[in-house]
Amino acid sequence: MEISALENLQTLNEDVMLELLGDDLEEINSFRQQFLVQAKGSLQKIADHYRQDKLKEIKEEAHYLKTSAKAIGAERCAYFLQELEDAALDLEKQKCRAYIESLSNEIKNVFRACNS
Amino acid sequence: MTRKEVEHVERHPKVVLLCDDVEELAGVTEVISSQITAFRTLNNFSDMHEVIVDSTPLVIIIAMSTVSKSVELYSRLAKEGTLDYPHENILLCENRESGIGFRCCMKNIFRDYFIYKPMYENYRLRMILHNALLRSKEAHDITQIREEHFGRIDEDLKQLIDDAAEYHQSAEQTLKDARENLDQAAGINEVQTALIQDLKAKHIDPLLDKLESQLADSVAELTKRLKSKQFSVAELSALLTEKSIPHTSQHASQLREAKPEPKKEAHSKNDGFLDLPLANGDNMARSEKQLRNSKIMVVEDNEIYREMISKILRDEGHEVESVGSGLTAIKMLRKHKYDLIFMDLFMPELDGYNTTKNIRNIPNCKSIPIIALTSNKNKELIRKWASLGLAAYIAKPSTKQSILKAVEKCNLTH
Repeated sequence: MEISALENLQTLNEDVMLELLGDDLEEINSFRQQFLVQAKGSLQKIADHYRQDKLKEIKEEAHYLKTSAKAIGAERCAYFLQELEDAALDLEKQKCRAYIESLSNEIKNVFRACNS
Repeated sequence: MTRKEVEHVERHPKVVLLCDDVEELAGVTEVISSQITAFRTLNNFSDMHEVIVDSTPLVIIIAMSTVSKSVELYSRLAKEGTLDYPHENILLCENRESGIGFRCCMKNIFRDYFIYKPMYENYRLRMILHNALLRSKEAHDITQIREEHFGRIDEDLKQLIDDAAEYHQSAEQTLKDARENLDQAAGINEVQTALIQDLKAKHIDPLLDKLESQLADSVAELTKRLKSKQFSVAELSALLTEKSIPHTSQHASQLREAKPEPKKEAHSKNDGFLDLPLANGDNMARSEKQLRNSKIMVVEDNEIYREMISKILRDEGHEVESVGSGLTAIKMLRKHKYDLIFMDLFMPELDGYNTTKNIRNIPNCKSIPIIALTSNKNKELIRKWASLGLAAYIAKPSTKQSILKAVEKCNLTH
């Protein structure tokens, strides 16, 4: 998945996991739940790093979470993580804050999509 | 020749004699057995494979009816991964092929050769065997000591990194407690309380902030240095391993890493292979099974994606082992053989590029296929990485089809 314009992206593109793992729904659900747990922990770490001005660590954590966001088809999440990664790399703290907030909201949307 | 006729059947031999006609080598076996009792003569490919895998003999003597058959047998054993350990090899040949034997040794296919037909100098054979055993044993002992020694250093470094992290956590907690205590501190009257708060804001808070920041920087620097040492140790160990392994063993590793031939050709080659008995089909079945059940390592720090890739490969019948860091991958690759590696580019501690650089220094891994897992954004880095030899690259998250296609491209699937 290429990270393109936000409006073209889905909160949860179900085709991504179907193409990756096939149609084993139980398996797919299990990976989605794992992602939600992982995302919660990562977001917490990102927030801590932000408070301590650790932009390099924010970049690393965002990159880490982006891999699984892409893999489960959380396209908008992956978009915000990429933007966060870039902002952290450019040492743009204010932008980081905005993307962390967007990411936090988007993770909630993924949670709703996974459990709907 | 049946099993009954083979005289030397030591269970865990240090020396093996591989041949196609035991009777022709009666004199040779007498000379060898007078030198070493842990010796076994083998004339059946299946037994050769089994005994070498079980016993990893220090010296392998090959005496097929022609030198080309001896080279072919050695190559086949190497390609099956049977010879992937430090060993010495000796070629026995007839006088009429002494020139070919000499050239094989010059090309490091064999360590030494001996003319056994006609055999004039049995003491010369005993000398060659004695020296080969000595060298091989030394290489074996050095490898063992080094693995133990470097393993211990690595464990110590890991412990120090953990200790530093623990110390950091506990010191941070102490500072946090101090801040909380100060927040709650009150004087006997309002003036004193205001004074305490003023003191706190102007002097104590900045001091605690500075201490906290210095602590974080120092621990980060210390951890960085320890990790760099960990990397150097892994690199040095790989380099030393490479230096201590005989050239002939390295040649066997290179043969092993050479891409397997297409199945059809392999059939025709095996059918006429050295006139050795293969009719029971065991060997063929084993070869095909090896192709189908390739041993694959997945190196990816994100456990969800790592598990997804592993599942896709396991479902296809491959044996998969997954690790979360480049350092662990290097460590495992030094100890075990793999047919293929899937590797992430960005990983903490050691990225895909540097991990690959290190892997290419491990004797058995000079040409092991590596499939890069990365995003399309990093084309420049992938180009740099590709200079170390990449079989393919996959843009995350990819699809099952393209992942399996990449494996197929490495000629590992059936």
